Amino acid sequence: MTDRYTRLVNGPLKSLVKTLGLPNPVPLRRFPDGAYLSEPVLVLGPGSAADTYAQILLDNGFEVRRKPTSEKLQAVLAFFDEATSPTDLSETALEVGGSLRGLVRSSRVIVFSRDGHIVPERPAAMDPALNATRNGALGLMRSLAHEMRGGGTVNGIVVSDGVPMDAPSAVSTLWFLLSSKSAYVSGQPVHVTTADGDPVSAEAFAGRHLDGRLAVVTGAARGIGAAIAQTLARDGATVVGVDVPQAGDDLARTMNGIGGTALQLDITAEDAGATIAERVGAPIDVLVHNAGITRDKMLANMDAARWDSVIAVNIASQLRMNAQLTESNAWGSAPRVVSLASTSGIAGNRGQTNYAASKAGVIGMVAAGAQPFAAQGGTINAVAPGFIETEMTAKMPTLTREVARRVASLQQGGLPVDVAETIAFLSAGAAGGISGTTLRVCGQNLVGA
Amino acid sequence: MMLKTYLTAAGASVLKRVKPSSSVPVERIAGADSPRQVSTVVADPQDVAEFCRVVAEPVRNTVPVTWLHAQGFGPSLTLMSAPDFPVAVVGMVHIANTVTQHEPVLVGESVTVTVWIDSIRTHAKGTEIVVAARFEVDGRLCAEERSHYLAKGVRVPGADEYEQPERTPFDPPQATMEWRFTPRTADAYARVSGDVNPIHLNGLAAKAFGFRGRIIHGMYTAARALAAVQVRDDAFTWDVEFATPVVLPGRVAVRVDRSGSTTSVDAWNPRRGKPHMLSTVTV
Amino acid sequence: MTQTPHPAQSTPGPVRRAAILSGNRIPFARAHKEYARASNQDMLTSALDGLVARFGLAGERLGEVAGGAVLKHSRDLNLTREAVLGSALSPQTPAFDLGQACATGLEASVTIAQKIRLGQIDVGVGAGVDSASDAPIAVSEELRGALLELNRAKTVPQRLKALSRLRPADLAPALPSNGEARTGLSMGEHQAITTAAWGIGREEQDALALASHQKLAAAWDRGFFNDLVTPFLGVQRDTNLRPDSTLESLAGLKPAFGRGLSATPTMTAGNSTPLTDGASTVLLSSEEWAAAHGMEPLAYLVDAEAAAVDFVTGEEGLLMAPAYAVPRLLARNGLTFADFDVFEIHEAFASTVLTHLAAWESEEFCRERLGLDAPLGAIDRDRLNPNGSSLAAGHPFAATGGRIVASVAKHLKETGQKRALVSICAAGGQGLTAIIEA
Repeated sequence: MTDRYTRLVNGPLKSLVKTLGLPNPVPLRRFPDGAYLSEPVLVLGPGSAADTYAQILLDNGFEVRRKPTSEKLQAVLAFFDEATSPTDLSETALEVGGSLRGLVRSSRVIVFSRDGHIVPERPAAMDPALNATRNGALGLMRSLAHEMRGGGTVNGIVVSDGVPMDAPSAVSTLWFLLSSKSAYVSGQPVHVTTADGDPVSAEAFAGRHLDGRLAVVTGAARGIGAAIAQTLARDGATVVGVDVPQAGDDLARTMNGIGGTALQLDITAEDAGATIAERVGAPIDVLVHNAGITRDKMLANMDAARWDSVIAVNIASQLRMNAQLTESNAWGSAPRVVSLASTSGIAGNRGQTNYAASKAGVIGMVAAGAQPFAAQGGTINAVAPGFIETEMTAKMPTLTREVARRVASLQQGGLPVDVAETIAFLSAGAAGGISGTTLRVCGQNLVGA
Repeated sequence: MMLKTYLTAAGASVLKRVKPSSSVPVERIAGADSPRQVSTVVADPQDVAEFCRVVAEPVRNTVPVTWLHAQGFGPSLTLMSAPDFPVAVVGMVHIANTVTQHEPVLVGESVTVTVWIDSIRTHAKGTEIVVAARFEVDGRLCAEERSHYLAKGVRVPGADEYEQPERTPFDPPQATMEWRFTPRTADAYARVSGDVNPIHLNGLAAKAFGFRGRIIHGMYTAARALAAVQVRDDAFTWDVEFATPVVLPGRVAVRVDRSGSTTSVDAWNPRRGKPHMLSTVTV
Repeated sequence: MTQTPHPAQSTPGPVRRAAILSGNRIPFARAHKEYARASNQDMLTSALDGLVARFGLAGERLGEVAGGAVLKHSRDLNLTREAVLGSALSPQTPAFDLGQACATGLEASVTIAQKIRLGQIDVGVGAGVDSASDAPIAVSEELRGALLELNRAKTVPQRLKALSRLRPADLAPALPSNGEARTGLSMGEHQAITTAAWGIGREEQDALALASHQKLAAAWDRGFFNDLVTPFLGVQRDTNLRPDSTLESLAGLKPAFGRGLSATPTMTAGNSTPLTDGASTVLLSSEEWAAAHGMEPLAYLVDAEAAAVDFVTGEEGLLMAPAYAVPRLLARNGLTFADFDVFEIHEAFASTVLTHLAAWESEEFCRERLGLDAPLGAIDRDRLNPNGSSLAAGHPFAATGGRIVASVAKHLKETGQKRALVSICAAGGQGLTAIIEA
């Protein structure tokens, strides 16, 4: 499902595109194709974490190089976790640069760092130089992501102080980023804030790593919701798909395709959470708040119906549902809640004040929800999709759509499955150390950058 | 073959209208000593089945008396078309029919059909001809029939004096059934019964005899009525009285009424309330 | 004709309870509209798929699926099995067709329930479907006869003879009618006779129709059907439903049946069911199967009784059979009307329901026809068809039983009530009734 331009530039127009310097998107490597590649992984940077990861990679069957090499590489891991001064970045950064030409298509650069703090409210008992260094590493990561070619991505694994660099969630994030499941994630830091989570091997991560988990997905009838349901089921989860009764036939088809269960329910109903708890009748391990609507209008022309319905569906229902499920004691032992935000909620978007308010609301909800969910051994995160090729975006004006595609570093739109893979990653037991975050799946789109 | 009989009869009728024959005494052509038409017919299972399908009888091993009637009809026509027969057969109206079945004829059996003119008697509107038929298998009398025809406006010297019982006035009851007859219904019945009288098959012919159009065979309506009763007894008596013809295509209102050992089936015109046919089956 | 009730003679065996887990149907649509191009098989498959999805049964092998249609194409000899094959159920799920005219859907559920009770199967589906739009069209009897004759002919002259019978008019197709096979009268005309005989008035018929629309609309509005109906072809609610009906609008309709009768005709399009397309399914299982699959039964299908009347001779009304079945069912189970919280009486026509009610209240009828010492009594209207019935939902013949069984089972669960009586009249002078208990 690549767009027509991407097909053309990788086919008959290949040389023309090169000559004219036009955007040159490549078909991305997507799971299950090439879950991991066969080329060696280059691990750069000083310190014990780099050594530990080199060993972890070896233990998981990867070939590993610790020094720059002329061989073809599938990925470069750059460790900045022990850097304390901005000048410490130099050596590893330049080694990474020198290795880029050896990267194959759809390669990965993964930057490891300790958590820096740029939010003013946070306690700032940190050495400014140290904080500058840590944030600097992420600046490098984001810029390099823009420079990548051939479907390659650059992301960061940012581990909080006091949490081992090889915490289970940091390792599972590595498998996610290395694998083809993260095809459309680029320029993003993944924050690991606790050592919680069950360790997972690279092989297990590519298999049915959600086996035995029960997942509820709202808005599961079609589009991204259907892809989420399908991906969770593929990874072993038992899925209960929720959608409005009006979408019941699509929901039935999607659920029957994955052996899931359909629950026709309007999530804005006062008792939706209680109904879900009653109908599912078993501990809920994963809840994906995917259901969402848009009712675009400039604020000057906005009516109450448009504003209120978007808030009701996109954020109010989620808050109420979470609370009711907690009240009903419906969660499993380590629940994972993943909510759909949007790059509009980060960057804002003309004509979407209501939508952006709801989606920024989601980002706020998960940030503040991390603590209460931690109390019951769970996590809550958001995923913010950028331009995703769906029925909805297919209706955009051609030029707008073309621009939206090409302004991303990967120079193309994402697919619903890209969002779904990220959600599956965050739904796993291994992701227990990641909570309160919003992870973008946008191909490093300029919007919200 | 029967068409030929009809044509012959038609020719004879024309002659008879011009010069009604009256030279032969009635006793010679009607009554116990009158000549008999005797024929033997095998109740071919296929022929009987085809007949049953047309008149809505179930196809089974017994032969409906309505099929037997059809076998006696040709011989009766032959008798009534004889040159010395006093009235014209064409234009005669079937006004009543009575069959008593003693035991059913089975398909495949050989039926001896004996037909004679039972009586020629006076009628308020002309002369009534009563044709009798016996149906025997291996010497056992299975069924006997009396078919009553009316020759309108004709007086036959020597005819038995007879006063028909008065008809009870018909007040249309609540219908329990409805039949729809089309010209093709008549075509089909003509095919399986052999009664190809043009008033049933040809609109012009029907008009020539004063009908508004083709009319269904009276015996078809009667056969449907008998079929509707679903007689399950071997022995029964079936009385039919014909009132007005059903012009094709036509809708017929019907009521079946079971009362003790007698079941009545009345058919009438649902719009005018005039009866077409009144019948009873008594077991 | 006295049909005296008699208690069961057989000793109760080691039977299990047959649980009604739920049901699924597609919204019912008026004929020749939204579902005009969908076949019985399409609709039944869709209804089955919705049921499968509701319970996560994709790929499961069920004990058996029973189903049927009243208006059935000759090619649909294995209609239900074909629908199962097209559904998300395991292709190893056996299925069979059955038919009892408008009682087909209820008979399918009853049959599956009995198999479960006897331990023959653990789980099954009772289903029904009908399309008045995609109805089978036959060739005329004349053409059919000629073609069959042609097929049997061996020689050229035989063939020519077979064809020589044909006339141009014979080429016109024969459309199915809802006329009774033995009487040629339409069901509406039959009911008009019964309605007149019982003196059922226009106003009470219209009032019953209005109540049906209002109750069904209320049920839809409060989400009652959220887990009983799955949309199909863009239809999300029963299209016959007129929530804005009023007694005035109903009173303005012209009589549609009984115009030939001496009594004033009272039956209109408003108080009669329209031709409808639709499909329904009911999931039934043993208690063990339900528990093993984490499902809580809505109710149990306890017993059923069929009856038939001689309508051909006009001795009894075509749709009066339930009036005879119910007392027998009550007697066998030692129950009276007072023991029931809900009465689901299929509204073929408003007057059908009203004549049944009148019959059970009539001392004369109960004594002479049912052989009872006293009338069965009156039914509290508040307990009658609490979520509307066929006058509002429409009546895709074989699909009505499944609609009623699933709805009433859910109603019992929702209200905490104990027992429901289901009654469906059917062509051929038949009726099927059943007891459903929480």
